[in-house]
Amino acid sequence: MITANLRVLTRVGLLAATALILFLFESAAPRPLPWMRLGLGNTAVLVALLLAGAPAAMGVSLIKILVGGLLTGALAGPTFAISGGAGVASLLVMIVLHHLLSAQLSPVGISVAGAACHQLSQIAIASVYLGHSNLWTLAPLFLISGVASGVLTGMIAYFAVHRLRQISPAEPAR
Amino acid sequence: MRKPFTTGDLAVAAGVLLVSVGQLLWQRESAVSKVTSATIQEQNARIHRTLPAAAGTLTVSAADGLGDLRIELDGSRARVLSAPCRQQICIRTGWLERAGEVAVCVPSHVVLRLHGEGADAWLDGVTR
Repeated sequence: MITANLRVLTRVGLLAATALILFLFESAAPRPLPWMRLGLGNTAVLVALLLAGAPAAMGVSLIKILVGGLLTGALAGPTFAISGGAGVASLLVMIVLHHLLSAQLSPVGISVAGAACHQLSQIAIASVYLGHSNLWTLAPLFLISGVASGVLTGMIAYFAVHRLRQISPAEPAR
Repeated sequence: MRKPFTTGDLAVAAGVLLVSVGQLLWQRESAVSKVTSATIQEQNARIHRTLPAAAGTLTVSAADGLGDLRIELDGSRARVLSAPCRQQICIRTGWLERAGEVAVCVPSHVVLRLHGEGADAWLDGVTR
């Protein structure tokens, strides 16, 4: 039991560190479009969900949001509320889909749905913050870039999980 | 774990793309009217300028004492020239050229929006 817990703890720690490195790398890298992020940090969250389940994914996501906000200086600012809120919303969607539709969806489908939810949540939170400003005209471009980044992060997560399972085949399949 | 690009995956992606392309086409359709004005919504005020009469640069203050934003109005287009925010997304949005287009600076609490005559009224009809 202790070994199992240790394994989960180690995994969450490693994946959270990976998520943070990717998140920081992406914050510094130029963006393909002003409103587009590839969401590379989300790859680690998705890997945690697929390998270790919902609680581990929540752990990785919260560490990424809080420590990432602290390191980029955005903590407690409006952009933190937007990206943090959107991060939580998209994770919830991915958890639900992973549990209900894992026979129909691969990590790519789960990731695309999560990215779409992330983008829509960002607009919703920003609209509320800015007070009844209608920002929904931005939605199509946000969603299209979300599909692109969702496919990319889903593919990376799929191959990462595939490889990690080959390395530690003793892991019970989920 | 299923291999990537299952039918379900494609359905999710196609659904999202269909919705976005549909809205995009609808917005283009709705924004055929020529640009007649620009509004700049600050934290507590809403500045309205008629175009192209109001061409020039104007300065508005960002929320929380962040600094100033400069906004350029030119003919029937508008853009954010400079802003005190970190990510500069509002500046990189570039020129707004169609009615209904917006540039947003969340940290400054400022929204720049173009309006047309009649056809894009649905935009504000939703929120007012």
